[in-house]
Amino acid sequence: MAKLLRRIQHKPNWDPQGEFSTYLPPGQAPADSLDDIATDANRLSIWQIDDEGTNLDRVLAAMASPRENLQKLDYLIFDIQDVQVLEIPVEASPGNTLDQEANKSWHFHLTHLSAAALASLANRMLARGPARRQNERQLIALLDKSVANGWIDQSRLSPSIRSKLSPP
Amino acid sequence: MEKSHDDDVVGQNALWALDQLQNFMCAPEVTRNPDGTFSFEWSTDRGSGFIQIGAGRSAYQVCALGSAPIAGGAAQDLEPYVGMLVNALLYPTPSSICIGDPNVSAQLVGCGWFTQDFTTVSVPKDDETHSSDSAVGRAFAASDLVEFEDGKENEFTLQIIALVKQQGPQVVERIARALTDRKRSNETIAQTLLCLGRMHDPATLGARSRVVRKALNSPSAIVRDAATVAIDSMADRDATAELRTAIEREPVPSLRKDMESVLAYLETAP
Repeated sequence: MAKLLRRIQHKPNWDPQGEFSTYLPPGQAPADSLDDIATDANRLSIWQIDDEGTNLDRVLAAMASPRENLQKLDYLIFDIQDVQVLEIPVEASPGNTLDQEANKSWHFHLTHLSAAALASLANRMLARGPARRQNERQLIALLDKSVANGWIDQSRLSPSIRSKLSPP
Repeated sequence: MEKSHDDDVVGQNALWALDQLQNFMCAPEVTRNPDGTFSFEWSTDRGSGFIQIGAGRSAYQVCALGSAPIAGGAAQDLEPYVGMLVNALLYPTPSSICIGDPNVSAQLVGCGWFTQDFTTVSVPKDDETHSSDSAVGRAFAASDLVEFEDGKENEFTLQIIALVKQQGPQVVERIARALTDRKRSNETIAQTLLCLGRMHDPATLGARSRVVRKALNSPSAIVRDAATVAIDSMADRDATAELRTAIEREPVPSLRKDMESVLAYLETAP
């Protein structure tokens, strides 16, 4: 079963044993977690990760590539089944990173989302938590790998990030 | 809304411009314009300055009060002279550059930054300094209007970076006081800590470290998490004792684990 990956920003909100678990019923995501799955035109950007996770590092590097700093990248991986059971449509949609092949192959949008579906999705995502983190050192290593493999053009990275990568 | 690569380039250009100009100018008010460009603005009773940063080009204009622009134009690369002029014209102090200095003016005119001989502009020289408190207040006012996103700078973070680099440890203390305002959102506090953690400015490392370490005691997990990331970004070995204490009392398992990872890094990093 393929996995889906969503970038998040507030990691403590995606720990099933977070502070909110002391006052919310088990399995209920906190309202603040909705900030991390804010939609645009009722669509939510996600990445597909293959069964064995072989494209995970490349997707993470792609996600980091347009950034101005690499301080942290937090994300949560959940099952495609979590989306299918809610009958949320999934559409291929090119991503906006510096890895063109990753953009075409693995970026999708969840579409036609209602507020109710989004809240249900948040609960299902929380159950897959806690979220994971890549720190700056890890992101540099991932970007180094993508540049070395020719997946990302080093010259298009921001100067501050470029200066931290290994010399070509 | 997802951002385009052009938006990213503009943000990178704005950061680069701040780095280029920081030693030569007071911290600007930073605004993100509807077209995606960034504006740096200064306004005092002596005049105004304006720099607009785009994806490929930048525009600038410096005006003395009641006179036509004395400098302006467009450029692919901003030079420090623009910051020097803004500082000298709008924030004159005994230590600032005297724009009447023929050597400096010749250098500036020679670089093609000026549309007229600015040496004729009269600039009073006194000890008036820019109000740090109001600058910090303006920055935090901007925090209510921006959308925070990991990896991206915005008007608020650019202003904080500019203020700290320009004004040093004293302004870090003012920022710390501003964070204690009960109206301040956890998101703004967290983003401020992340910003203080990732900026490279050795002169303020101690002051920034104190602010970040104190935040490990916050009742908000979001804020404690940001403090943990900031300590990691600064590779702040002075924080190990506070981090150990924070780990012992941290109730959120994944955050405790992240704190332990950062502690392990601090204890083993070369």
